[in-house]
Amino acid sequence: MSWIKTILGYTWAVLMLPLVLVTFVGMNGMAEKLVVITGLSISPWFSGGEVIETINHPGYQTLVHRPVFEGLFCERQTGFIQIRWQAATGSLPARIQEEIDYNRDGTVDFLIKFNRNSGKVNLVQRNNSIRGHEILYQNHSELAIRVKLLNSNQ
Amino acid sequence: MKGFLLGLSNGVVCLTYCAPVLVPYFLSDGKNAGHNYKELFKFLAGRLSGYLLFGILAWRAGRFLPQNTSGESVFFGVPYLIFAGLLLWYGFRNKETRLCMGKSLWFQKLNQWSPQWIAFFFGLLTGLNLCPPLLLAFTDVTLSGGDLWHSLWFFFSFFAGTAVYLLPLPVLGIFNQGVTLKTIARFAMGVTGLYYGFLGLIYLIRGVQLR
Amino acid sequence: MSVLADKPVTIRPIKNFIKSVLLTLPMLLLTLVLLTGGAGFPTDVLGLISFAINYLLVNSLFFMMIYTGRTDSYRAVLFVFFAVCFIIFFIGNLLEVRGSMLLSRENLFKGETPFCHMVIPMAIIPAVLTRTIIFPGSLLNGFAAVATMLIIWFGASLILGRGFCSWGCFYGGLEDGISRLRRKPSRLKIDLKWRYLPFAVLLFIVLTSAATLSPTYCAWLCPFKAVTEFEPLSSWPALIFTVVFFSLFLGLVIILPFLTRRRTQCGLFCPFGAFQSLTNKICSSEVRIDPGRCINCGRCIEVCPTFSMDRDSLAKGKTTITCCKCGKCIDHCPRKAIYYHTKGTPLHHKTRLLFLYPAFLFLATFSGGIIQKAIHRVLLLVTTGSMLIG
Repeated sequence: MSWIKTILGYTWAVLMLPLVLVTFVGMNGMAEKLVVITGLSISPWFSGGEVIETINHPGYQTLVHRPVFEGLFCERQTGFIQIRWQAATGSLPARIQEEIDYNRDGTVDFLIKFNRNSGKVNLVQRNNSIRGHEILYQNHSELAIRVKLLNSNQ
Repeated sequence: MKGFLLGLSNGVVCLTYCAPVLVPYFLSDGKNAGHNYKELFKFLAGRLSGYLLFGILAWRAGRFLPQNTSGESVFFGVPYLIFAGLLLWYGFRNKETRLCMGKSLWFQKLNQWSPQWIAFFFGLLTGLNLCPPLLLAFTDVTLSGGDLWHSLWFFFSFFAGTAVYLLPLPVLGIFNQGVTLKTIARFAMGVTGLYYGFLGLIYLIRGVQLR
Repeated sequence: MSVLADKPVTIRPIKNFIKSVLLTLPMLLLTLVLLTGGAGFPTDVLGLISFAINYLLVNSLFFMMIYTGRTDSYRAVLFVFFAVCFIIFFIGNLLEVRGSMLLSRENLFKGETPFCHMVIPMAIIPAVLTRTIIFPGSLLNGFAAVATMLIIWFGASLILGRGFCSWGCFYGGLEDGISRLRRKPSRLKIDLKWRYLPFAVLLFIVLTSAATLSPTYCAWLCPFKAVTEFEPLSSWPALIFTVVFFSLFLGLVIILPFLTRRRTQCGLFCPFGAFQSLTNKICSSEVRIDPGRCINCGRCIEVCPTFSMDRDSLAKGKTTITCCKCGKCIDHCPRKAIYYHTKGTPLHHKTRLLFLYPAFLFLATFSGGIIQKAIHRVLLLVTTGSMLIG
């Protein structure tokens, strides 16, 4: 039995050199395959989740992400919905206003108003599940906000 | 029943919040699963006490608690700091992990002291942890505007629903072999203590800023 | 009489030189292929000079390893150089892309944070249960994309196991270098029980990261934030975090390694190292001690930078599971009783080259791009007054 272990040991050790080549030469291809096979994605708590709606306005567009409640085993009670405004060229307008129906029930859940000069956001709640907001980042051409939500499915 | 269902549906979150304390605790004692279950019940008793305290507060306050006020920041910051101190002491008191031998009699007595109900205090102080499920329970009670008994019953049933998820943890006792894992677990309790200490400090600083 | 005194003074014959040249030839070829990435030589003069310096350095070091039979002395040169170059490259890159070392919320939420191997142990449970990576980076695009780093880590675990800490980690070289600055260690004694702390930190970060779905080590504890990227000091928590990062960096990466001549961050704190100790099981190589030759002089225990040798392990003829395979004990053993060994093979079989080729090639390739870019930046600084490109 020991000679089998010896042969296997040496074979395993010898294979390590080609493995270095495979690792570095094929890492990009293997990385792509890894993502496809496992279905991995960046946690929506960082990425904001997928964009489910794009609203076009003159000179800018609004990107509405899906509501995020993901937890380790099941959905969390609190989450958020991320909304981004992007200028097509140049700057965002001085005032932005957007009505959002995040749960797709046909009624507006909240109204967001942003004043670029003061940098302030005014959130008008039309739904008990809304729990405030947070500005993620803003610059002259882009603004991203997360509106905190209570999970109504829980 | 609503409290129980709410606890049941959100207990996984409680598990993830309590695991960083309970897992090292069960491993640090080096005892078997049976002993760990006794400790778990002490822990749960403490946790229940914390929840009932919340029940009284929810009834008394009659509103959703987190208002981001100075008093509330201190209310949550101080237990965190006490909890941190307790975890640090428990983690570093044993000879395997002791930071210094401490020649003074007082220090030696403190290290030798082995309170039977330490798990109760761990439970009580994690019970006062402002985790998301608890916030939800708080909201539910304050919005319903019920009396004291309703509030207590709600938090009791909520506790029962969440406690289900903690029941498998004492089984970790089967891994308790040798001093290595015990030492690692004690260090982990110390590190968790530092984490809670940091959280407590943040709460207190926020409280001072709000004042 | 010293055990070294009876060692005969050997004049290396020409045969040894020729043998070393021949054994270096495969490395010359392999590094040429991997350092060019199959894309040919750099076309600009500074790029070509950077490549040449790196290529010559790497292969000279490998030749010296073969010729002298010493591993750690030459490995450390490249390893330390890699860490210094990493900082030059990384900070230069941040200054070019962001204009500062500060990690803004915009960078975070746009997924512009380079992925680092330290995140892997924290990411595993959430990745398995939610199929998401709890890190604000990019899966496939940009510098240090998540999936690419995962592939490299998997390869490194097979090839090096815990040896990644001495043959791949771009942070480890910093303290490796600092730990060599003093000739003798101070009298400061570190209790060996602290070797368990990295495992405790690992347990803590794995549980808290799963609970919070965020990489808690990066947010709370990483000492290397001090030399890479950190949050702006815009709030009290951010200030406290920064104090923690800098204190850990100063204490564990600068002061303690300098005083003790040990890699204290790697040996006493780093949770990734602890994690690699576990993945080491799938690696083919290990360090063993020949009890027949060992005279229990304790030199290996004295010099081991990661506290991976003690009397118990010596008696068993093994290192502890935290061994980084740096080869320092092998170089310092007066009786040549410590050696690289291939798992599964008879104990007396010394298989240094079987470990050395893949380990060195890994280090040379992993560090190659970064060293070249860092040299390029330094050359730019010398020739133009700015190390920023463009």
